[in-house]
Amino acid sequence: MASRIEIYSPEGLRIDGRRWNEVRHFRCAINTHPVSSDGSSVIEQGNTKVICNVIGPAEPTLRSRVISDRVSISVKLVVAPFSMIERRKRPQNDSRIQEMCSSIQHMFEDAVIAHLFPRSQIDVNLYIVAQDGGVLQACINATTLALIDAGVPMYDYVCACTAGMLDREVLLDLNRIEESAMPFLTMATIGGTRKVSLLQLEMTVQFDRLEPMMAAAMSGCHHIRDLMDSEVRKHGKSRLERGSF
Amino acid sequence: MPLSLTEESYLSVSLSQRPPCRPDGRDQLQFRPIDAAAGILPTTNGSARIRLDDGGECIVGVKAEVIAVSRPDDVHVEVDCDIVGLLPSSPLQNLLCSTLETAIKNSLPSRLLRITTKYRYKIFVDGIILDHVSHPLTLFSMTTYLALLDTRLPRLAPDSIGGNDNDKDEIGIPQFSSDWADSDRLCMSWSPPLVQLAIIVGKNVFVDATGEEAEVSDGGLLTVWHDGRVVGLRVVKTRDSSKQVFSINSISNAVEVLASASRDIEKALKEIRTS
Repeated sequence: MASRIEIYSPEGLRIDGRRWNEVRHFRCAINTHPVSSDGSSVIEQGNTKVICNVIGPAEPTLRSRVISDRVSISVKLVVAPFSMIERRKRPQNDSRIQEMCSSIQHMFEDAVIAHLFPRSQIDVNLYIVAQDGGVLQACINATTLALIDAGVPMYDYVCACTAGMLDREVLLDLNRIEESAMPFLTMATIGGTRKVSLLQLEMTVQFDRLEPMMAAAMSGCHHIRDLMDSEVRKHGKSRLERGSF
Repeated sequence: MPLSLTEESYLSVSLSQRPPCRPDGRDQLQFRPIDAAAGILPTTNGSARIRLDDGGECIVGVKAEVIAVSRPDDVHVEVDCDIVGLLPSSPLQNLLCSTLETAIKNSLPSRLLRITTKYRYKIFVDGIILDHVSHPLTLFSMTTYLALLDTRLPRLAPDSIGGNDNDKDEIGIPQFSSDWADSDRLCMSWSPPLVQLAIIVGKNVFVDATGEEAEVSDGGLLTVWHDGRVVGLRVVKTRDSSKQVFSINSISNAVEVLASASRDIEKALKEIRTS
């Protein structure tokens, strides 16, 4: 793939026409499923589209889910078979899906103010309906927005972004073709701070190149936080004007 | 949440009296408002999303694959759905998939999926039912109908087609036009089947039953509607302890009711596609 397509042109343009530090088109909406869930959001990052429903905080359905001093979060992820160019049906117990679920779950257990809801549960359902790279980051961003919509208190937004390294060039927010051509990492930060709540890198990369990648990903996270924040404020304002809560 | 004895008897009395009285004041033939959209997913050949008033939601994507076939007349269609909250291959999922798959296979002419003598399209219909409160069959069928209406299959590239039909069939692997607009609608001459479910309470028949209404029903009946008539019929269990014993009259009544409901829904869904 990489040999036939020019991933990064000498003029500094990527295959979709972006510069190295530009994120893909970002669109988000909250409170999209008001009837079926307590909090919901839809996120589009480029051609990746994720729907998130949050149910709770509520009384646990199972006794085994009760944690006496904090809320228990469970994450379920459904990948639509039609989400990629080639149709592919994944079983529900696919190891990659399980891994993503558990990393999102562990991250949000620390990001929400968990001790305020002892003996209760929050169910997060994520549906990936279209994927074009950056699935984990879209899931994390969607979960943040849905949790905000559900009124779950959090320390700050959790925002995620990917960054890759092609030779010595850092590229921000990769799409699927770029992801297959270079090592990349997914990073999530707590709001606009420099606190990292998730860092995932599954490929080999030289140690001295890790830092520029992390710096780029962090600036991407901060940018995405601003985009999400403006959407949340816009939504809150429109609800205030309508007078509906 | 299960209904209490009082609630159950109140509901079943009000639904079985003549004229019946539904809890939400609807007519026997009246549907709740739906929110529908077609062509929402760029990675599919056809897609649709329908959301019901009670929060039930379904997304269907149709994808086509090219396969080599030995027997030319087979129709290759696979229907699959994922009901969130239920385990895979649950009875409900089997009912939904098998009903739709049989209905589409029986009605779709194999010439529509023909590419060359050797190659055919295989159609995959995949649904996700994000949430359902009432029986998801009608929801899934309507969404599938809309997604199939939206489905486009690419045409062969003009330069890969030779002077006559024989040349065209000689070509090994079909080459498709790279322009997405250069494609044919699957439903130009064919209209997809529509499966509708009605519940029977005493002598009365109701379409688009809510979860509570289904809880007190004697059972359900599904009809497959295709090309202006009812082509299939099946009794469905709508609750665990349903009697599933109906009189001939109520079955024929239900078929009539469903036929007229299907006609209206088909018209409405076609309007959504064109608007």
